[in-house]
Amino acid sequence: MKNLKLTSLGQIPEADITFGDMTVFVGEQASGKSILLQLMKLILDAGDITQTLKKHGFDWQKKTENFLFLYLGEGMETIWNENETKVTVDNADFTPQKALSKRKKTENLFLIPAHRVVTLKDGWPRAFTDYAMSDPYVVKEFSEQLRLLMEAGLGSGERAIFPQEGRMNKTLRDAIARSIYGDAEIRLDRSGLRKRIVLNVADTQLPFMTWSTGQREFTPLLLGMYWLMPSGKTQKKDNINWVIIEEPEMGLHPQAISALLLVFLELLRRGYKVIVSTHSAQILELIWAIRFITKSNSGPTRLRQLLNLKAGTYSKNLTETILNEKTFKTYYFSRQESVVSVKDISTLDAEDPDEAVSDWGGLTLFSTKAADVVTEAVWESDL
Amino acid sequence: MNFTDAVQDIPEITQCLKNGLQALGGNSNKVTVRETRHLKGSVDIDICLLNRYPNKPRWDYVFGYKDRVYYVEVHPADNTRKVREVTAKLQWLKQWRELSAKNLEGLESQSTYHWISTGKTASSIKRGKYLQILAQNGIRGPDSVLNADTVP
Repeated sequence: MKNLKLTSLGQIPEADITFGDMTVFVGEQASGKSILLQLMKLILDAGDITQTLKKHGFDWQKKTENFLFLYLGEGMETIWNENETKVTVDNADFTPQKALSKRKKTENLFLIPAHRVVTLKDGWPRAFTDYAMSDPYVVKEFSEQLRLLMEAGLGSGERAIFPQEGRMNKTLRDAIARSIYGDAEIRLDRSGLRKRIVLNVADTQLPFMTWSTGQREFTPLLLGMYWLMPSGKTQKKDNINWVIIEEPEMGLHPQAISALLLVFLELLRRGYKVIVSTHSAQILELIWAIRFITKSNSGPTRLRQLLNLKAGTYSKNLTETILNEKTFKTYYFSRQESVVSVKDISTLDAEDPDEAVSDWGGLTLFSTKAADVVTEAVWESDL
Repeated sequence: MNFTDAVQDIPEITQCLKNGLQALGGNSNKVTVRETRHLKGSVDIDICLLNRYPNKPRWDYVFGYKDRVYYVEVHPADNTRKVREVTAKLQWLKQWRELSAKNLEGLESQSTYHWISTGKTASSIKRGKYLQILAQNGIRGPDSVLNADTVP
């Protein structure tokens, strides 16, 4: 999928999106980002979705509206208007009806939803059927995948779940440990009547609900990364080409977000296409920096400097791959009243006369406004 | 080509090349260098080109030190509006070099651009969009002094 065009989907009257190797969606709350991401999953994985729903006993009685209820969640089924909604993928028409008839059952896209913290209950991933019928499919499916990962024996030996040698690159592992978990280890606790994930801090086992917000938000994402970055020499899951991460920055300190940036770049290095929806200016700062480092031909050393990476084979390979091979796109979902416009702001040019571009879809607006206000205040006091 | 040879071959400014930091006049105390013997000369671009480009936003100075070329704009930095004034001067400088000072343009990979503030600097200039605008243009500062030996 290179391009997605749509007309009249929920509150989005029009959108024309060309994907990069990494594509970032920014925009106010309820501006349709999540709907569009779920639509992408449906476009690429319809066969797998219908099979999974059937496997768990769901039946939409051949009605598209029922299917959309099961897939998008209660109340969201109305976003698709049979008479007005039009979606084209690389110039080919897409409809849910067509998707439902698809036989291809392989999964191409892995989606880590914004609601990921609810996927761990009492320190263990919830099963698909543990959720209400009206909950979005993408949450249930992500949760089920984590459950299967744990059922497969992650952390069942003596080794910690995190950090774990052989899982992820050491640079990445160290950055995550340093900024998110400190000296603590994520371990599997089998001492009680039911297995659970705990945080081991100086020989004290902390249950999931006592962790910091950032740790609780990040851990399901980390497990998702384990799924996408298998141990050993396997670079990526064969069939998975796309990874969507919704609001990955939730609950994280800026230093931890820096570790997250490394996670994105590692996914890109491994050959995944990455789509992120975010409210964090830091993620756009990375893309802005990459854009200008590339433009100025100043080489991978600068990117290494930005990411605090030590010189070495891994960092050389990572930074060269990013600068020489990867493309980046950014779209702004701007909500005015109840109507959303989707704008390409990929240049992120701070000098662009269009404030949607120069203020990065509003992400730097307050910082700039504060600077203006302070300047005026100081100016007045000098007079 | 080194800085001195480059300037001597540019008809519009060759007569303005001065020894050391002399072209910076009273502003020379805003620039520090550890080894003055390595100074290759300086030009007051603003004054030198005043008659030729009287209404253009002319950049202030350029000097050579060791194998580097330093472009210096001494300009107030008391409010964010000054950011646009300095970037406009840089744009003019680059256009002028392209048309009339190819030799200096050829030394771009050894060149850095510095904004030295007169009076106090509004801290707001180093935040948000304004900081990004300066970075995109490759302008360092605003700082109260330029220490040429510590420029990366």
